[in-house]
Amino acid sequence: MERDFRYTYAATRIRCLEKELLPLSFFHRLIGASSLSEVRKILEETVYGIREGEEFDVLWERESRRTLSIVKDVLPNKRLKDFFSYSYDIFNLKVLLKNKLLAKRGMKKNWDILVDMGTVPVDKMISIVENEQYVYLPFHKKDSVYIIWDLLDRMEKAELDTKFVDLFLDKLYFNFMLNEAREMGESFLVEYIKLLIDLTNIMTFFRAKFAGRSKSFLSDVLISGGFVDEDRLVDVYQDNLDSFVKVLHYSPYSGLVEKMAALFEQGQDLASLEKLKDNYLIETLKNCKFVMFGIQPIVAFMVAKDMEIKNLRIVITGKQAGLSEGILKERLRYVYV
Amino acid sequence: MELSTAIAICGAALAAGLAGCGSSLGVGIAGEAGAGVLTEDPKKFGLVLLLQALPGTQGIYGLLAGFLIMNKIGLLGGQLVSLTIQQGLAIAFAALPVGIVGLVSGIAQGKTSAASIQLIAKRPEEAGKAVILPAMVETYAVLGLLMTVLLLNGIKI
Repeated sequence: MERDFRYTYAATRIRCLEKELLPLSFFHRLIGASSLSEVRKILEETVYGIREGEEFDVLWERESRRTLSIVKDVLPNKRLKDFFSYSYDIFNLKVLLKNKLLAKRGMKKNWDILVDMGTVPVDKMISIVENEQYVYLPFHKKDSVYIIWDLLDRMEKAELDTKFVDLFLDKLYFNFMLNEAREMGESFLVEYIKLLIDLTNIMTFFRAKFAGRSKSFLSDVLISGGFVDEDRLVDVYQDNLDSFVKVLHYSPYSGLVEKMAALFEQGQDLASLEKLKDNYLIETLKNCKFVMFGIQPIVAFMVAKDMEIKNLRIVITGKQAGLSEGILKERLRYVYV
Repeated sequence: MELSTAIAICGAALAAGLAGCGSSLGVGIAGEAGAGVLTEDPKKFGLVLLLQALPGTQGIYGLLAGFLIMNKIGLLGGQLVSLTIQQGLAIAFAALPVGIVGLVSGIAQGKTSAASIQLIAKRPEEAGKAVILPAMVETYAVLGLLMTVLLLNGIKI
């Protein structure tokens, strides 16, 4: 209890900022807008106002950057501040490693999408990857270097698709984050990372099934350390989806996987499963609304903002592409407020 | 000075000290929450100040009980009253309700005030309710003070 008082200032400041989160009705209004200029006008009422001549694309990064800077501002120590920045490091690492592999296959490198929000500055990250000095990565557990070497080696030998970089680096990332949360003694962060691991594993299970991958592939890419033992998922991989649902029947994910399995069997694409996963995450984090002292409101706010930005992207890019209102409404994720 | 007087003084010190600790912790917790709100919305200063001040009353009750004891044993006027050991102990015990309840309720009220500050951060229109919730904790601090006053009155010197 005493420990949680460390976040009293942070949690209260975040509570104030929760007021600026956009309700579902706002997104419906945005979807109903007759033109993109009306969308611009509606956005001006919120924190997402954009200047004349600016493209909508600037919104996502600007708001993510602002959210991260607020969160880093309110958190009491550097280790916690870094904890929430590692996701950007791993994103940059993924981009750079993929670029490195593609360059070996004769393609041009493209570093435009790197984001300077992680704990390692972009320049340094580029130099680490280009000079293969992986020991300088923030994921300082000694085996991380071997994981990356092994990954690069396998990718080169087997000419695997670069999307495998994501799967293997996610594994490295989540193991590192779980370890960090444990070392900091933050039980909520441990639970949160475990939840993310489980959700990632469930999605990987469906992805692997969708792409018709082998059982050994799945056991290679599933992440350990979640609430659900990943071996149980591997065991039922080749059976029908009913056994998968049964395996998770007594876990908190029973409702989620039932819906996912039903959609999968109907032949729906993975994007609709992804939506269910996002909704599950936000619904679970809604309990943080009742926590007054602790890190929970801060984590929930970050996720809520991420989801809000995702929703805005869905609506705005959808409108640019001329998608119908029905499709856009269907693709919207739940909101936190 | 007699040992009995020293024991009675220990009672006064406990009343003011414990209740003061409770208040300072409570006001501190509420203050941290208050700073969080004021960073985003400085216009709420008035209400935040009220909520932060609520856990401060325990310290005042403790001080009051301390004064009552000092008055009873003549420490304020400089004319010390002669006490038996039993009387000294009785006064020290009489100081405990306000001291212990002040310590615990001060922290509890600080937490409730901080939570109420979060309430007004999100819903300023509910300010009335936000003040009532921490004020409920006050009841028990007042009861503690009442008990100490009644006990002190009951001790015949």
